Amino acid sequence: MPLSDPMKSAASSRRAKPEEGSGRTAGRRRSSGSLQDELVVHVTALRRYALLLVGDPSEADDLVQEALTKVLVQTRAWKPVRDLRAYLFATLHNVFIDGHRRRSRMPTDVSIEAIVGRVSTPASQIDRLEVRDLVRALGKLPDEQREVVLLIGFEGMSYREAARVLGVPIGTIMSRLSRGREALRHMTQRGKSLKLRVVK
Amino acid sequence: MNWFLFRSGKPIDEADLQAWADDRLPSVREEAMRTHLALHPEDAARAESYRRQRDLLRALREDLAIGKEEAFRPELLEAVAQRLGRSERIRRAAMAAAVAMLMITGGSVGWLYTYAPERSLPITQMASHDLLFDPSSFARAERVAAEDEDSVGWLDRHLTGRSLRRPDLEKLGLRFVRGRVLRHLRTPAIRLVYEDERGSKIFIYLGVLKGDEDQALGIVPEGYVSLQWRNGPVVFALIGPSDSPQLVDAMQLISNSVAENKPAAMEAKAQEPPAGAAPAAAAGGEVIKPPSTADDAGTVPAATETPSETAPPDPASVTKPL
Repeated sequence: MPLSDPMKSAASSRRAKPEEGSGRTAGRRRSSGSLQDELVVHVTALRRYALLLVGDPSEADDLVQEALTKVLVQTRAWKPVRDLRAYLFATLHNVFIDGHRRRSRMPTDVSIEAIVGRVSTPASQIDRLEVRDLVRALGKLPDEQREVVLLIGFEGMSYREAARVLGVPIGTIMSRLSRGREALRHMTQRGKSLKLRVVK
Repeated sequence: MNWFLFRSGKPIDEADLQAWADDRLPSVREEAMRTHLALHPEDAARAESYRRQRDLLRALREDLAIGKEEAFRPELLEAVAQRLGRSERIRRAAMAAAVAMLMITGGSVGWLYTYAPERSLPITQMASHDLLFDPSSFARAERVAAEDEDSVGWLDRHLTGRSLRRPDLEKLGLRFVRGRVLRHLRTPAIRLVYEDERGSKIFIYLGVLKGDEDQALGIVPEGYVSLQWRNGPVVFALIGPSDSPQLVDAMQLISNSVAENKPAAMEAKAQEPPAGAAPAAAAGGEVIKPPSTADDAGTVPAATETPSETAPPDPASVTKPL
């Protein structure tokens, strides 16, 4: 099955433009209180995303805090935010590729436990072992692929939204998504095979 | 536009498979995808695996206990919210300012085009222009001008050797509604509005010529006629529904409103007022309003209504024959 990625190399380190939005909130009149409520919702999503991105709760919160600080500094009065969620995620992405990416590699068992240990659902409703394998495999993905898999699979963003957040074309998003998912499949399938062999 | 629509007609490829796993494949591609998966079970297995990954991640997202504990950096969030809110307020203010600037600019251009002294219109052009104004201003003008009956007296003061009274069209079933002085015309002019019992209106324009002014023919909206005639220095324009049977009779009655040989007492009062002079108390005891704005002075008579309150006919009423 062919897989085209015309912008693969050029876009691999592209920074997103946080100001560009889809108009999700354009024209919506928000009071200060409702804006803060909306911000709280998005920041909670940011923290979840950052946790999966860097694998460590405290480092994830540092990343989010740094992103919010950057929002505070870089938001210009004459260039309003149109899509708050995309803006926040794009800022987080830029902060991540600026600094955290260099020093954070998440595949440690401690980090995985930190993530899976936060799951509040009873084990009967979610296969913790399967989640653990998936999170472990996520940590082994290249950052670019992990970001795309998380934005789309974890955050439920559309391909266009993810492209806007990461500042890359949709074709690049599709390419990274495909490679990331296939890598996850291989890693989790191998884990299952190993387990099966152990059982035998 | 959906990115995948560009791909319609192409063979199923990896991007389609990912979209299928995310339930984002357009319906036009679904049948082709089902066929493809039926023919390629390895791709079907991959797609199923990707769906499982997605489901696990979404379940993980829903169940991660983040944000359910203590508030995250509340001071920082408050500061960010204030900054974003300020940005939005400034954006709104900037937009409002831009709109206001556009309106001012547009209004200035419109004023220059419509009311500037050097562009003042002959009476019949003014008549048609008046009719083509936005009907939404009609009701407002109706309210503010219903009591204004001094316009006839004001025009009468511009007449020499003749007297003018308000045309009485009662015998035609037309009730006087209001009169108004028209601003920024080359000639002193007024407009009178009459209506029948159903509310259908006719518009009468009267002007006093001071020389051999050329009165251009005005264009009136479809369904109307404009009758124009002259009686000495007084020019008339009658605009009403084209199928109104009273128009000709109204013409005669309107013409009769001008009488020869103005009484001496009135003659003395009928000295030419400055072009910008306000309507003054007329013989009939009507109260003449002073000029409303400084820019009227020296060029035009004062208006009893502002230009923005120009009253075009009510479309609901003027479509009916009188």
